[in-house]
Amino acid sequence: MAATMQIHEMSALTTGTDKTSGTVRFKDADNAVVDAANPLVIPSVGSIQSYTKKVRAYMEAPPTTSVSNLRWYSDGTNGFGTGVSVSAKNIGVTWAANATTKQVGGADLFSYTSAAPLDGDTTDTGPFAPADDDTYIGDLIEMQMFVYSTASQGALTPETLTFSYDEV
Amino acid sequence: MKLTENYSFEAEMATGKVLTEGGDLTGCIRFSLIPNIPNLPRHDFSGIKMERRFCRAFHRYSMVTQQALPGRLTWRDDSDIIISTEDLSNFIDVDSKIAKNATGQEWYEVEQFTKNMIKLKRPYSGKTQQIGGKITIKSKPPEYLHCIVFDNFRTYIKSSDGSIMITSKDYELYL
Repeated sequence: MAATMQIHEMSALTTGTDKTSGTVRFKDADNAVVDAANPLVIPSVGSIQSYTKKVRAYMEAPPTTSVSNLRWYSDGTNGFGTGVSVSAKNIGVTWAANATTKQVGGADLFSYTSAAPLDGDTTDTGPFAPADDDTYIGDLIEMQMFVYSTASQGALTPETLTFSYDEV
Repeated sequence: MKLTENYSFEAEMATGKVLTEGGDLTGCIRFSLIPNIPNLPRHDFSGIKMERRFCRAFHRYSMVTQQALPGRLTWRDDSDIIISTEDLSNFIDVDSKIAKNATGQEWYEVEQFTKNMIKLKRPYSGKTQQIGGKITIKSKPPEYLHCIVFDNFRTYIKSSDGSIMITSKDYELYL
């Protein structure tokens, strides 16, 4: 039987909201609600940051043997337009509250592609067994959106984050 | 049926034993990927040294809330049909959620659609008007690959349509 994996938007190390095939909205508030509240306002100079967003894999149903090789990546092209970027990094399994503090050590999310994905199990390493059923597996992936004064007002073109894993 | 269930496999070992789970194909003399639904191709491999098998799954996660739709939509009170002035088929999926293009509007799930018509799962309730609309994001569909690693190459087979790709032995395919 194939595993059922979910992507959760995290509010604590082992607490999250299922967003599989769903949506995360970068916003000026620390919640996973997808609504139009708390928008990111374009600054007159410099840049502002959204609250960080953390995602993690959740094993909702176990594999026959194991799950491994967790990877995260984008399509490699920033479709958000001028003045909007997203930073991402693997923060292991050490939880820090989501904040608007500028992320340190992250890389451009769009530098992680199908040819060079972000490794998602460097700290909490696989393979993950059927005994890990109903638990979070792999590392926390933290993202933050930056909005610069050069950004244009309005709705953004959607972007997609891909999560992949191997199973036996 | 789930994408993961489109295919099952049989690995016939030299001992005569037939495996239907596991990853080690050492000693396998026939490997068959067998479709569980019509119109998918079957794949059989034999006479080639095999090493292992695994599956690779892909989930997509959208990173903005919603997208404004082009054109104008006619919303009629107590009707589950919305007519559009533009072709929206590239924007909409069944189960997408659609709302009027303004803040605080109620979201409705899409039951089915054609180019210029959207059928909602429940009737719209509100002011009858022609106005823009917004939709929750349509992301790339999920995919599930079956990979067989041979002595000198590997194959990736898509669960969605059964198409096959042959790569070098150590190539890691991410879609």
